[in-house]
Amino acid sequence: MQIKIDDVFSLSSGRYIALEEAFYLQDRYIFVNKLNEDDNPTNDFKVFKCVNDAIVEEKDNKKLKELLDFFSEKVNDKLALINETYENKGENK
Amino acid sequence: MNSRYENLLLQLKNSQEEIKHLNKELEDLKAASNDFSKESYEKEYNLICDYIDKEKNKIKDLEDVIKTYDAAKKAIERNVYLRQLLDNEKDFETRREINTELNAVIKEIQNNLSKLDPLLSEELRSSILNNNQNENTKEAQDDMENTDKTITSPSNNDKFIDIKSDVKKDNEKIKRQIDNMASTNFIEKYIDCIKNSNKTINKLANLTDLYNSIPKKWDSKKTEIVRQRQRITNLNVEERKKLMDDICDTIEDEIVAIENDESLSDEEKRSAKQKKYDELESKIFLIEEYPKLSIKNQDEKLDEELESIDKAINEEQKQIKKQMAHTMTMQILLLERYLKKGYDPKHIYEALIVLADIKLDNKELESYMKKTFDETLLKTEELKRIYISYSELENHKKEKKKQEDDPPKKDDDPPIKDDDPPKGDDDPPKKDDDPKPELPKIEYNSPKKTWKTYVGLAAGIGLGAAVYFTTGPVGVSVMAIAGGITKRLLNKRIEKLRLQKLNGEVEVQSIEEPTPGIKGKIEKIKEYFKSEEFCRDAKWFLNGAIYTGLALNVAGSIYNLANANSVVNSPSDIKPETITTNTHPYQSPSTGSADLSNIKIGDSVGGYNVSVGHDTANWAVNGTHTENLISKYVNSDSIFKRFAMINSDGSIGQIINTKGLSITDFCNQAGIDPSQIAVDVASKNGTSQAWTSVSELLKGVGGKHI
Repeated sequence: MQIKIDDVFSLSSGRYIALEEAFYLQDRYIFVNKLNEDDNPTNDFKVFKCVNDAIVEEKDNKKLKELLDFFSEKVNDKLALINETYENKGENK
Repeated sequence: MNSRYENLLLQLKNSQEEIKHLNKELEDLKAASNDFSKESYEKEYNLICDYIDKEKNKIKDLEDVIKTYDAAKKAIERNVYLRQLLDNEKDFETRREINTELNAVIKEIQNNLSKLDPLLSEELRSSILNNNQNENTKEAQDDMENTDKTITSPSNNDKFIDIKSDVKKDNEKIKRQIDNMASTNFIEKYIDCIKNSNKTINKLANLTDLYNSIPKKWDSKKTEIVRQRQRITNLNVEERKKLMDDICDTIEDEIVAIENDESLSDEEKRSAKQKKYDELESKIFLIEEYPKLSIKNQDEKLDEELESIDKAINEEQKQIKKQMAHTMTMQILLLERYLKKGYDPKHIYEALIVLADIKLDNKELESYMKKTFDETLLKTEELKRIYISYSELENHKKEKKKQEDDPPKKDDDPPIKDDDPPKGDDDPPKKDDDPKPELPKIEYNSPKKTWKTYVGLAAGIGLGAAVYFTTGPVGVSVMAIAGGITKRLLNKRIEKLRLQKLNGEVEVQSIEEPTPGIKGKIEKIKEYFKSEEFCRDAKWFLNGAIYTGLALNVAGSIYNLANANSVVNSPSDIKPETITTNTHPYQSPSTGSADLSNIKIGDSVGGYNVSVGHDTANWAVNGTHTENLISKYVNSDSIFKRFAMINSDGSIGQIINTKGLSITDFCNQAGIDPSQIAVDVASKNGTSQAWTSVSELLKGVGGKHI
């Protein structure tokens, strides 16, 4: 089964959550964050390439650079939203 | 001098060897051409041909240099010989003849020197200057000639010209390097960029010394001029006439020498002669007319000359400044080019730091250089990115070290920060870690968790922060960039604030407390984050490419705030679409929340008690300075304008004016007791009337009390 955004999944290296997805050079990639034992986010981020139903960590720096630029953009959009959320929460206090 | 000569010969030999070697390579290439595609062969062939051409040109240049060098050497020997002759000669006429020849020889030396490498030129010139030292005579005529030379002839600024030409030549070399690198992918050899930057700094330091020495140099000239004027004024008529005759004779001889000089073209002769006539004219004025002027006019004349010297000083300093700025710019552009050609970004960053940390003996020049650095860096996209990223990394490391040195704070979960330096794009992946596809086991879908990750990211870096992900040896790492706020977000925010202001949604609030508590401080930071002023400041930070630890400090505060919030309301509850206020009780108020929930911002006072009030929120909560309110003005028609949370130290922790927010909600969200809240009662049109406490509002109203 293909991994979707927000999916929590496990691999031999640990448990991850899929944060974003992107299509690049006809391949699908997912941007993930590793979860710790308590299911909380860590500072370990990875990019996986989807190969059918399996996934493999992308280590090609050239591709990673392109993909990370894209993911950075997406994350910044989310952060902007969070920022506003926090501000609104602050105003509501 | 000889060693330099030998060096040149050695260089020549090396270049010839290189050509032989390249020719051989070319032959090999031709032989192996079957293995090459036509295109790649042609490319290689052209590269080698270009290189050979360059080497040939270099050889030609070197040969010219050697020729000029030999000529200069001979002229110098002749110069030494003539000087010895002059020292031993007593007869005036013969001395004059020798002098004429000597002048011609010196001119020849100067011509040759100007063609030579500036370093050689400096060496030879210093040897000539040493020989010239004994030439200064004490007579008034010589004295005057020297003074005139200092003003009119550039020969006294030799050192300046040498350094200028040195720097110019270096800059041209750098420009050639840049052009060359831009046009080909060919990098001759590995260049130590840090060393290069250090060289540039040394050059700039030399230019600074020169800059500083200019006024001193001209001070002595000023003294000389004043002394000379005094001497001429003190001469009697006879002495003046004799001096005049001598000067006329000398200049006439010099003009004859110019006419007989075959090395000069007609044009050169004419301009040299014109110069001599001008010189004669100024001297005639000085000797004949100047003493006749009134003292006042003499002073004015002298002032004019001194002013022109000041102008010359300014002009020279301006030129040096320009030269320095150019040198700095060229070095940065060169580094950019190396970066584009695949040099290690860390190495480039370190080279940039050498330039950024420039220290000069002149503070004005130092700040000018730093400004030039900033301006140039801003124009270079790639370099700017590298510089900001690594600066942040350095700051982060410092921050981390500082935190390690300090006793550890009670933080449950440290903010997510980057520990790994970004590497160049060409870093090869680890071979022993070749990944294989793996089938993931999907457990469940949780958008909340995704948001929790983003909130963690935001909390770790600072709200409103922008991030970018980079690759490192251990995977993907995240970095806050450009002070934590990107221009994109800032522009959006400015736009939003403007619109809100126009619509009257944003109210200008003043935080009055003189010494805010921790929450108050965080609130202030948040207010600052929200303000247009901050957006402008942050943009200025970006534009100036100045990176400070500010973002991380602020991020730390915001992170604490986020932690505090997470106790009340887990970040996982935050959804992008709907912003819900947390209703689960954290700290239940000591009175029925139903009574308090009717006190809402924007609602009218109604049946609540507003017979007493206070001037400040702090007094209201503490129950001091109570005043009776006039019911004509403050009554049931008044409205609840805003709530203020008062910290235990008496400072205002937070002021809120969100319409519809009740005391209960406010208490739940902030995790406080209603007794800590002051309510601002205002007239219908929003003019504040008084602060009251919650207990005062409830007092005597239908039995409600806190």
